Amino acid sequence: MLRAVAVFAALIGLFTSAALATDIEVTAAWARATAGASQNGAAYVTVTNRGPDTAIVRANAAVADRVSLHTHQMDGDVMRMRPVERIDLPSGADVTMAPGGLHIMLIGLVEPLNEGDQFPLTLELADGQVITSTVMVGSVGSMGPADMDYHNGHGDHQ
Amino acid sequence: MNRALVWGVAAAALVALLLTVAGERGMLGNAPDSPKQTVDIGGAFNLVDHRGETVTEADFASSYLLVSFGFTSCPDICPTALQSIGQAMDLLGSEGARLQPLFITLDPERDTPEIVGDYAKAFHPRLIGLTGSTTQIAGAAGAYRVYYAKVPTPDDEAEYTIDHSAFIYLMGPDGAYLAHFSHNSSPEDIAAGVRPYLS
Repeated sequence: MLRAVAVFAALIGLFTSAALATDIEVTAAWARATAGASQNGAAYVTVTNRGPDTAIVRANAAVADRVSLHTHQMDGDVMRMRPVERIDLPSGADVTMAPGGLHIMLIGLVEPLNEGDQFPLTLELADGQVITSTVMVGSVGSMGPADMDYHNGHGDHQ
Repeated sequence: MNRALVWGVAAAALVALLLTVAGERGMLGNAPDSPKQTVDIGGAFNLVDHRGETVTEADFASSYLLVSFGFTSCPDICPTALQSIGQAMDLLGSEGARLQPLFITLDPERDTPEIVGDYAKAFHPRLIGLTGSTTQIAGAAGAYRVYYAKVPTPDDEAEYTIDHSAFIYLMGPDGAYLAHFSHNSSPEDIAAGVRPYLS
């Protein structure tokens, strides 16, 4: 009984400290496997912000030479991919990156990404927070985390 | 409250919802983008396949073509379109035997025959990737009225991206334009749009 209480108290403590540590939660982070010899990749995350307004201002991943924040603009029938300086994370909102819009561009992949791989991705926020999450690699044409088997319990809410 | 009335309202709402969804998905007979008139898109091309061999429209004389354009350094839009084409091929199964999907690069400087061939194959074993000289690519893109432009990326002088229009074209065995799809058409939409022409 005493042991059960201790475990319970420890769990409560764990959840509380996790909640206090950051108001930002990355609930899904995924990328597509590399098709052929393509040198570039893209990662997508869903970020929930329970704190004040902030923004992603930089991303880093060791799997690529350079990582930058990008978006796609549809201009008539023409797709234009452009870097963006920041990806806003408004207070209380979920920001979901997806193919055809905001994405984290992995430029110059060190090695091809294979389906089933995982790699760490670090997001730097405007308020100085640094958040590292694990990116799951899906198939070459995967359209989102729903296509994937999330063993870590994240991203299964779609 | 009258229970029958509640059920009646609920049923009416459900029917309205289904009609809206069916309408949006083109299930009510308004097939996507299939004008009756002749459209001047497509024509002769002279390109290079993954083996480095010359390929022209004559090599596909008895096939329907599903033609898309892009570049292999494109990590976001191009894979989406090619995945949909690959899945549409799977949905069509043996019905798609006479349908040949082609992916033509707009980045001949970086996309060698091997690179574009391997890239295409990663999405579907029947998808053929084609490249060529800058002149050959300009010819094919011009025939299909594809807009494309090399744009330097500000964070690296050595890098560039390519702005491009991203339609998927269905061409008949005689080389005539039949229909087109957008880059974000679902595999189901593509399969459904192509199927009537194949049968």
